[in-house]
Amino acid sequence: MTALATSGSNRCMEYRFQVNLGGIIDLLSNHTYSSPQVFVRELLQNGVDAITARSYLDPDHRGRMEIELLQTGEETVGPQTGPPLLVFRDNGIGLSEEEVHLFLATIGQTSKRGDGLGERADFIGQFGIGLLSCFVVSDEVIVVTRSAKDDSRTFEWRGRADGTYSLSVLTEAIEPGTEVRLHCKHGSEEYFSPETLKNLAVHYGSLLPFPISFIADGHAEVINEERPPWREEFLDEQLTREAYMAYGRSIFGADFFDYIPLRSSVGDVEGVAFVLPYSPSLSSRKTHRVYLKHMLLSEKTEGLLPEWAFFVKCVVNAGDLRPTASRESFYEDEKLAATRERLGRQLRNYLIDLARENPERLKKLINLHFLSIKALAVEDDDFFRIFINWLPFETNTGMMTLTEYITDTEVVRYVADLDQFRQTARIASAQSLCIINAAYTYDAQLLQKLVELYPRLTLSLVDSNRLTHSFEYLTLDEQDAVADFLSLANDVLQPFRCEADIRKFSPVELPALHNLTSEAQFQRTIETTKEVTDSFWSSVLDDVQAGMENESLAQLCFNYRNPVVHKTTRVRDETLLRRSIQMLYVQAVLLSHRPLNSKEMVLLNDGLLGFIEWGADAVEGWVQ
Amino acid sequence: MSNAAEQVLELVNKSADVGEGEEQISLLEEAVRIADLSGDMKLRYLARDQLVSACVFGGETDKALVAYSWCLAQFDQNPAGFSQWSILWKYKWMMGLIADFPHVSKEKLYVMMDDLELRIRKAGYGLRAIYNQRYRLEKFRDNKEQAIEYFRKMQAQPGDEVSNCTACEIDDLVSFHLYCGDDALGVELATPLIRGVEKCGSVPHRTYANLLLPLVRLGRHAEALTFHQRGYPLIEHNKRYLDRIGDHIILLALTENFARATEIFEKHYPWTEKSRDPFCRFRFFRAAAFLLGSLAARGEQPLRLNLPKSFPHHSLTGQYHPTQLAGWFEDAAREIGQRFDERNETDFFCRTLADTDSLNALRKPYPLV
Repeated sequence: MTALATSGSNRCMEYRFQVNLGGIIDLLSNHTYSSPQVFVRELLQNGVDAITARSYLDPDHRGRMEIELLQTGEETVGPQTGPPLLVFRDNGIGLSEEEVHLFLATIGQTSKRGDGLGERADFIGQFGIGLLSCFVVSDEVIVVTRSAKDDSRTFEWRGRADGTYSLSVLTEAIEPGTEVRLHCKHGSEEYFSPETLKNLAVHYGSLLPFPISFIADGHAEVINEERPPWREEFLDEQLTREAYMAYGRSIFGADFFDYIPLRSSVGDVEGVAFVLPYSPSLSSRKTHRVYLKHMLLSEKTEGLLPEWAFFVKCVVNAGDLRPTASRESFYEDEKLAATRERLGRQLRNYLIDLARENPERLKKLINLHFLSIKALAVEDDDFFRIFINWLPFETNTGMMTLTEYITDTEVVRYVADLDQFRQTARIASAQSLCIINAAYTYDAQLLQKLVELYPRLTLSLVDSNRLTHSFEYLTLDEQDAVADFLSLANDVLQPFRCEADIRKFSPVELPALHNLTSEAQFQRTIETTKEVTDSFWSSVLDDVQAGMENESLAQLCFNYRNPVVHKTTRVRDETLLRRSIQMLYVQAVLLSHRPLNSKEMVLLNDGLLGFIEWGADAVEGWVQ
Repeated sequence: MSNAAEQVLELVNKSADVGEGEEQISLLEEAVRIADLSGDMKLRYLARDQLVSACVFGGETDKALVAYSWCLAQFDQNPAGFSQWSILWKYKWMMGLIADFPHVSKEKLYVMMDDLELRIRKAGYGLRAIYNQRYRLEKFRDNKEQAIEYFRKMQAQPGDEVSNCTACEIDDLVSFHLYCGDDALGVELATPLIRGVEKCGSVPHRTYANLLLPLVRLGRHAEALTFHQRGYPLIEHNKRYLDRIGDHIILLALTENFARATEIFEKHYPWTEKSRDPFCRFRFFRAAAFLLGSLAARGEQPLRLNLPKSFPHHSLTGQYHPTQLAGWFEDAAREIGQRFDERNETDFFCRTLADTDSLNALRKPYPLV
C-alpha cells in the first residue's frame, strides 16, 4: 500500500488532482488569452526562444522561421478534402526525447533547458503554456522536432485536446529544429486564412532580427524584410524624416506632426516617439506600442514615459525591461524609472531645440500640446523659463503668454475657477485690469512658479469681492449722504445673506454688481438645495454648513455713478426705497447669470406687481 | 437641441477629458449653472450627477454631499425618471464621506445608514454592500468588536451590482487584516493589487499608503520606501488623498528621509487651506506635527520652509521654529480630533494623536534610493 501513514491508526491517503485538459483549454481561450489570435504570438515566441538557445550553442548560427499555410481543402475534391493545415518551422535548438516530455507535456513548466541555459532571461515564453494556446484553434497539435545537440533522432509528438499525447521516432529525419503543425478546428477558419495569418505574423514579429518567410498558395515572401527606421541609415535628413513619418503612418495610420528618435542604454531601448497631430485628452490612457526583445509585447503599454509626455505615441523595442504578468506594461522598478527619465530628457531636448531653431513650428505644436508642455514646466524650472515665452493663458482681454502679461505689470492677477472668471471678466476690462483665468489644470501652479522665479512680481488671487475693493471710494460728503441708504440696504439684503456696499465704477450703465466669492457661491448653493431636500437632508446640510469655518456673504456693490442709483439713494419714502433696493438686487443677480432661488423669485414677482400698481395709481388721475 | 443643452453637454464632455480635480469640478459647476438657468430637469440632473462624481473623486466632499442631496430629492419625486442603481451606488459614497463631518450627529449617521439599507432592500439587492458600510462606520467609531462582526456578516453575503468592485473588495480585506493586527497577512493579501492584477479608480492608490506603516512594523523598510515611491505619484495631484499623503510623510519621517518629507509637506500644505474635509485635514496635520516634532527632536535650529502667506504664522524670512510649528499643527489636529471624538463617543482621534511613542518606537534611519 502506498498510502502515507500519519501518527496512530489514522491513515491519510494522498491523491493527485484530476485536471481536465479540455476544461483548462476552454478557460485559457476564454480568459487567459485575450483573443485566440495569440497562438501566433506564442508560436513565434517559441521559435525565438529556440533560435536564441541555439545561438548559445553556435554563435554563428543564422536563425530563420517559416510559416506555411497548406489549403488542403480547396485543391482536392471528394473524400480527401481536409481542413487547412498550418506549419510553423524554426531552425532553433530542437528538442531531445527527454525535453519533449518535459516541455511539451508538462503544463506550467517554466522553460528550463537541459543545457543549463534555462534560467537565462532570454527566454521570454513558457513553452508548454504557449503550445496550449494552439488548442484554441486546433484539436490536435503535432510537433516534429530534432535536437541540434547530441541526440539526432527526429521525434513526432501528437498532443490532443483531451490531454493525451503520443510520441514516435520518425525514420525520415528533418534538419535540426522544430515544426509545429496545426489542423484548423471547425470555427477557427478565419485564423487560417492567408491574409489574417500574415497580418498576425507581421503584427507580432515584424521586428524580429531573423527572416520569417510566409508561404501560402505556393508563394513565399519574407515578411520582416523592412527594418524599422532606427535600424536603418539614411543619406540625408529629408530621407530620414520621410522614412520615420511613413513608418508612423504604416503603424498607426496617422499623419503625425513630427517624430523624435528615442534611445536609452538603460533598459536597452530604441525607437521613436511620434508627436500626435491632435490634442489628446488628459484623462485618456497614454499607451505605446512596445516590443520586448523584438517581439510585440503590447500596443497598450503604459508607464514608459514621464507623466507629462502625453503629446507623443511611441514605438520602441526594449531589450532589458521586465514585463508584468499581464504583459501589458513593464514592471515598475528602478530600471524602468531610469529609462523613463532618459526618454523624457530626449523629448524635453526636442522641445527646447524647437524653441531655439524653429519657433514657428513650435507655435503650431503648442497650439496642439500646450497642456503637455505646461505639465513639464510645472516640474522643471529651466524649461519653465524658456516656455513662458510661448505658453498661452486665458485672460479677460484675450489669450496671451506670461511674458506678454508681465511686460507692464508687477502684479499677476488671477482667478481660480470659471465662476470667478465669469464674474470678474465682465467688470475687470472696464477698470483696465487684466486677469488670468487659472481655472485650468497647471495654470495656478505655473503662476506660483512665475513669482518664485521672478521676485519683482507679486501674485494676487482676485475674487469678485476683492475686485470691487479697487473701485473708487465715495467722498466723505457723499458717504454721509448715502449712509441711511446703505444701512437700509443691509437690512433689506440680510435675509439673502448679502451685504451692501457703494462705490464708483465703470461702466456707468451698470447700477449694481452682485458678487459671490467661491465660498459665498457654495453657501448659496446649499441654500437653494435646501429648498428641494426633505427635512432630514436639509438638517444634514445645516450640519455641514455649521462646520464651515467662516460664513461668507454675497455682496451687492451699488454704482454711485449710475444715475438711477444716484437718484435712489435720495429717495426718502422707505417703502419705495425698500422695493427699489430689492429690485436692484434681483436685477444684479439676473445680470450675473445665476438662477434665482425661490425667495428671490417671490421678490421679483412682488416687486414687479408693486411697481405696476404704483404706476397705475400714479396715472389714475390722468386717466379719469 | 437647445442652446443650453448644447452648452451643458459640451461642458460635461470637456470635464470628462480633463481628468479628476479642480478644473473638472469647475467645468461641471458651470454646467449646473447653465442647466439651472434653462430649467430643463433632465439637464439639471445630468450635470449635478456628474458633479457628484467629480467632487467625490476630486476631494471636495462637502460639494458632493450638496449636489447629491439635490439629486436624491429629485429622484424621490420621480423615481422612474432617473437611474436607481446610480442613486444607490452614490448613496454608498455619501455614507462613506458623511462620517468625515464631525458636525453631523451620530444619530443622523445611523438614520442615513438605515435609510440606505431600506432603499437597497426595496430595490431587491443583497446586504453585502450595507454590511460593508456598517463595518466601515463602526471601524470609524472605534467599535472594534462590532466592526469585525459586520465584516464577517458581509463576507457571508454574496456580491451583487451594488457591492464593491473586486479591487476594492481585496483592498477592504487587506485593511481588515491590518485592522485586526495581522500585518503580514494584510501585506500578503495585497499582492494582486500591487502587481496590478486587480485595479480601479482608487486602488492601488490608497493601498500603497495603507501598507507603509505595516511594512515598517514588519521590519521591511526597503519595501515600504519602494511603495512610497510607487504610490505617491498616484496620489500627488489629487486633493482627495490628502489623508494618505499624511501616511507617506509619516513613513519618511520615521525613516529619517527628512528632506523628502519636508518637500512633500510644503507641497501639500496649501491643500489644507482649500480642503473642507475635516478628516483629511486631521490626518495631514497629525503627520505634519509628527514630522516637525521629529525635526525638533534633532535640535532646535530654525527650519527654512516655503509656506504660503496665508499660513497663520507665516514668516517673511521663511524661517520657522520646529517646536512651535509642530505645536501649531498638533493643536490644529487636536481641535478637529476632539470634535470627532465627541461625536463618535470615543477618544480614538485624540489618543492616536497623542500616541507618538508607538511611532517613535519604529524610527529607524533608512535612506531612500
